[in-house]
Amino acid sequence: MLSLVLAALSAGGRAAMVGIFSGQPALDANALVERELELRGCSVFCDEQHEALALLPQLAAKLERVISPPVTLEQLPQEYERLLAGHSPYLKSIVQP
Amino acid sequence: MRAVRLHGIGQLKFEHVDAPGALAADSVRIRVQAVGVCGSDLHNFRTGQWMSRVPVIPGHEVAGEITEVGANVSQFRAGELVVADSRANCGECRNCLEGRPNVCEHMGYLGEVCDGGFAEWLRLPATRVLRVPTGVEARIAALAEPLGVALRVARRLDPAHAAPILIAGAGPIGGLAAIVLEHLGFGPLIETWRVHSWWHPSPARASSPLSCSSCSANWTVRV
Repeated sequence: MLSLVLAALSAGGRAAMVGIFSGQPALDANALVERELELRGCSVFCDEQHEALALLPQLAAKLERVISPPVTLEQLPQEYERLLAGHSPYLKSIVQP
Repeated sequence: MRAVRLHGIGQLKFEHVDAPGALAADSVRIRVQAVGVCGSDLHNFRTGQWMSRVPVIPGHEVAGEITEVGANVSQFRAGELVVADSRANCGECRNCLEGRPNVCEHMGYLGEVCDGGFAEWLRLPATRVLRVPTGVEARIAALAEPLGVALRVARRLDPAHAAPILIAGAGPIGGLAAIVLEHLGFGPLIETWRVHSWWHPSPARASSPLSCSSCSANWTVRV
């Protein structure tokens, strides 16, 4: 995936990477140099959670469309298995105890 | 209380456990109302990568109502809806002292180094909770944590005006990053087919498929 992303970048383009990589992706160092590509890692947040809270009233309707119906604590172990199998149709599962 | 605990790799159990005990002077007691399941929860369950103690109650995307405040807590009161700050950074390393707690040299997370939110009750230092704007429901407020990550991505990407942005990922952060970037007026966005499908379920709009030979991902362009 990373090699495809780098190939898709225009010269001078920038990629922001977030999340968990599996394994050690191969990296074409020469492509970074010759096309002046930038890779930027992104780890959690600094103050952005405050900003996210302030945005929630504006984004609530859109976010409501991508979250799951309530998952109970009793259902959560099965929900893990379902998510790992890639069977959830939702962007985010929400547990409501 | 009812809770879900991680006991080891692949071992997640619904259980009845003791509720958090007496409240420290600087802490608040929270009745958990909504918790998101993060990709890192699943990764830790599958690999044990951040399994620093077991059993532990996972869950760091937490929203809930404060029911009690410690003797020294003046900034919150019972009845307020709050979310947890998922980070358990040390506050003492060079990066923390330089104002970059997200790259703390000793970073831990709620639900890893201490019990998290997959339970009915949670106890946290008041400095680790944030107030939710009036009118926002708990199940939406629980998204403040991953949405914060998505905003961090937008800030780090720092895209030029009207520059096309490829969202290369099918998970929650990719999806939320797309929402945030679009809301902030960046793009046009080029989304993977799965991210695209979250809010455009009709495949009729799909066009220009790309494919990745190494991971079998299929991408669809929406510009």
